[in-house]
Amino acid sequence: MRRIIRPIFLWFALPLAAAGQNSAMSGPVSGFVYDAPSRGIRPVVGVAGTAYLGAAVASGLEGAFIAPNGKHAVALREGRMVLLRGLESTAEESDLGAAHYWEIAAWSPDSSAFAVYSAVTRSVRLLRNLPGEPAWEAPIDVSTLGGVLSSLAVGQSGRFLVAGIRGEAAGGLYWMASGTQPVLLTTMVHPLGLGFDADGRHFYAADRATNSVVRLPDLASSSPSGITTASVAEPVGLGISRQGRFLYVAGQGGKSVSVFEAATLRQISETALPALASGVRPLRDNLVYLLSAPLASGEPYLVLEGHPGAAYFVPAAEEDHP
Amino acid sequence: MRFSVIVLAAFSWLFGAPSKLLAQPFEIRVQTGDAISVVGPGSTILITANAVRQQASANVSITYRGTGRITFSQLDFFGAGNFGAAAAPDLPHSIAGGGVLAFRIGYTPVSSNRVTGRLTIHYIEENTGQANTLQLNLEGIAPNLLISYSLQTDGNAFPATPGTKIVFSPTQVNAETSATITIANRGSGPGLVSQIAITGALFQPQGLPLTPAFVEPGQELRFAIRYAPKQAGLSTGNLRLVAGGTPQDYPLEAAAAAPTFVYELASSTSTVAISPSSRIDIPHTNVGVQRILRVSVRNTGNGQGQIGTIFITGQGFQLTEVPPMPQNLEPGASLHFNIDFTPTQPGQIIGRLRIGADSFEFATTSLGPRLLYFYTAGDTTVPLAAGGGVSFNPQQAGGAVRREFFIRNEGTTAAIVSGIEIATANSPFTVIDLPGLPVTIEPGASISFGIRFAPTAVGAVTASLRIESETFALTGSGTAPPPLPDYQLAVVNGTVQAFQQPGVGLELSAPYALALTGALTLTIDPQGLSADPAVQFLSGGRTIAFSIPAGSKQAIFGGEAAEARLQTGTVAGNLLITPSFATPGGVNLTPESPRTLTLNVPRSAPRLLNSQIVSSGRNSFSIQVTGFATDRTLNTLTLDFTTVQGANLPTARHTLNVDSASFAWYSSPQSQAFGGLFTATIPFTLQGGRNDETINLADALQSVNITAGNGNGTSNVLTLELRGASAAIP
Repeated sequence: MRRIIRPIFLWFALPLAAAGQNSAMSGPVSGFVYDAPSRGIRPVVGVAGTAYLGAAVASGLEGAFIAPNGKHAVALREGRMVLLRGLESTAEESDLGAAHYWEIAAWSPDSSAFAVYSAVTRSVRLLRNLPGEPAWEAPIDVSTLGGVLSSLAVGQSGRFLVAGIRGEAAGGLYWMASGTQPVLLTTMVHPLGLGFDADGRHFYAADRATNSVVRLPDLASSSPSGITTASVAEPVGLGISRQGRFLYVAGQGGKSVSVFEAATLRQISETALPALASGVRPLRDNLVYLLSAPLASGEPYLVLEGHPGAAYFVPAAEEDHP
Repeated sequence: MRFSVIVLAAFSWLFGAPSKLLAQPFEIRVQTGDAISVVGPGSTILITANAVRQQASANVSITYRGTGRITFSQLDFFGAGNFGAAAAPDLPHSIAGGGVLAFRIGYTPVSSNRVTGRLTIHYIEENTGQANTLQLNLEGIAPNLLISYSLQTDGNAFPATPGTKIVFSPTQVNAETSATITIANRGSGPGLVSQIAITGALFQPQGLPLTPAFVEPGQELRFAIRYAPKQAGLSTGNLRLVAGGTPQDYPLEAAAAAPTFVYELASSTSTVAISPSSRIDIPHTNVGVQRILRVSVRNTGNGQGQIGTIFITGQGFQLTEVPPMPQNLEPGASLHFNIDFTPTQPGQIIGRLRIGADSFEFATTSLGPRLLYFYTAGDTTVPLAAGGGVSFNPQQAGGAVRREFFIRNEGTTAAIVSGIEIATANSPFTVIDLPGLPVTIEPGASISFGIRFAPTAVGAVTASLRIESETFALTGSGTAPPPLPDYQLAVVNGTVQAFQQPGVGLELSAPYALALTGALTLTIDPQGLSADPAVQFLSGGRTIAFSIPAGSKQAIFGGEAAEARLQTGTVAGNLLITPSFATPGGVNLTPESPRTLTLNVPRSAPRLLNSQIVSSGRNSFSIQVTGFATDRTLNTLTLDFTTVQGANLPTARHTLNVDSASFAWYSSPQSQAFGGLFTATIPFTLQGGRNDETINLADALQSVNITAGNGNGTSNVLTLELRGASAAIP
């Protein structure tokens, strides 16, 4: 933050009429989703509460992970990973190699890094410098950690990773970076939802086994301190608001989304859901979160409008409808 | 006894020579048999013998009518030696007038020819001593009866010799033949046939004359003996003729000619003789397997036999290669045909073969399963023939009725049933509670399953039930379902506004007996505006299916929800929700004019949803505002800035006229996809009162309150924190 010099006098450079004429209008798109029934990436046209799935911008995909900024995605097509850039316009596709990794994946908050875990090789690979010049990092072996990798988070720009390992004995959160040994951040039996705030400093994780959510502040290094904990029934995922003020934790136990003050994990409110959430994933810019996606046509998406915290469904009609 | 003596000269003696009569005073009486005649001297006495070498006689009495006395001294017979005194008087015999000399003349013919002789009677008149003679002519005749016979077959006559058989021609049973017996008299006297007697049950006289009968010389007497056998075998009898007083026996013999049929049955492995009326066992044969048996018929009898017909009865039996009927079989001849036995049903089978008058019984067991089919109608179990049909009672469309179906194996081996299905596509009939297939049905065992008839439409319907290769017709008819009760469509939480996701419920006024399906259809009356594509049901699109379980009122959406949620969108107008109803089978129950729920999305002031800074520099930034206007017009955006402490913004409120920008947006085709939504990006450039390169002018702004306005009013106030926001810009 820059220093402010007082006193200061401000005025707008343009006449008011000109400001109005310069304003540009368009239609809001809340983000993109991978629509399994149609095997395509489709835009969420409109805003939550009056949105619907538009025509696919990419199709014929076996799966896709959309970047948090909603501008690009890593997808699986015919057994290979591809990078799709420019989802808002004409998606450009480039090959990322054979899809040896696909079971669990995560994006960095700034959408510049993508990590994917393979249960076959029990290793994590990190793809950085997205979307411009993607480059794979050397695989990170997680087989030595014991347990089963159940969740993954990528730090800002992919500088480090956090792996959630499920297991009674070896379960926990591990800080990882290429060329270094994984470091246990904290024990956790069943870490499920992991996430950084927008600037990648503070880290949040949910533990399905203990029905709790924890905050690890200032995770730029592998030595966090001041861990904060709160309770959530059967958490399945979490998301952090755009400016890091709120933490949204979806729980299946209460069939709701609990809204916490991120810094303190003080629960502010709870939003009832019309259906069970399966996770929390930002659709775009941490304003709207995807809570569940249908596996069959005729079922809606469930989204969360982050502020003030309201759940809406998004109908996913066939593309030629209405 | 007929007269055996005929006085040939009586007439001449009585009327032609009276003087002679007077000259010899004798009265001569001749008695032959019972006939007495008076003859004169010189008359002829005819003596008729019954047969050659059979003596005949004539009694002669001579009464002396003279006055003196005479003595008969001698009788002299002349001629052939056949005549003589059979009873000679004692001579000399002296008599006075009125005295009588009686004697008998005998005649023993040695042939049947007519012979003549003379009798001279010597006498002496005692008073004169004069020797004198009295003469009588004698004539002897005798019959010669010749017995002959001729057979019908050739008509040739054969002499019949007493004691020698008369053999008839062989005669077919039930046919007849005859022998003609001829008694011909080749003699000189009439022949007497006093008796004709025929014995023997199969020999019957024909044309038999009354006896006694005389056969005049040169004449014949004929009669016939008929032989009519009723069964095969040799027949004997006897013909007795008493001719000329002598009984003569002629044995009769005839043979009935009859066929004798001998039967043989040949299979691929053996040949056996079979007897009529016997039971012939055939080895067990599998159903559908052909067994050929060759039957031979041979006539070993002595007569021709006729076989008028050959036929066979019994399941699976059939004759082949049968020669044309009737067939005559000469002795030694034979005919052949085949019995084709191919059982079609398992079980004990009796076949009956008829060859002419002979019959045979074939017994066997055919091996295989035999499935019988039944279904229940009320408390009655109804057998179902192959290819038969099962009818179901009329059923309301949308309802269902069930009939039980049974398959019983009455065969001799287990049956395997692997296919039971409704062979008609889209049929209201279904097979239910079917045992696991393939299923084995042991002999005597049964399986059962159900046939469910759930008509989906009004009217008659047919389908085919296929069990293995058997097909049964299923028929039923659907009747009109009960009328649909009234219903209510309502928004769960009352009225609606734009930008909502309300639920719509549907409830019948009364429970309906049948399960229902249906759909709500959403149509948009945008009232001059463009329809918002975001107006959709939860499930996507503008129709959503529902179901109403039988006996309930509440419509269920998506299998569990009591309401159909929809988006009202962001454009003013009327949303019309119209239900349709049908049975699961497709019977439309929708009223002709279904009640429609109208949701009015009113025109209202713009509403702002969110805002954010999308770009920021040292002296500039852009604010992005997202909201909607239900009438797709936007006139102004008003921004009230507040500054951080120490900063001074002379004009805090800035009202932007966005008429042209909003018009351009809402008139563009791109805007159609967003309804009344808009996102306005407003760039701002700040200038400071002091030219200080180190100052970030944007950081002098604390926040901005944003409102939007159009003809319907002013929107809600949206506050955007500006201070520090620039650092969060990605």
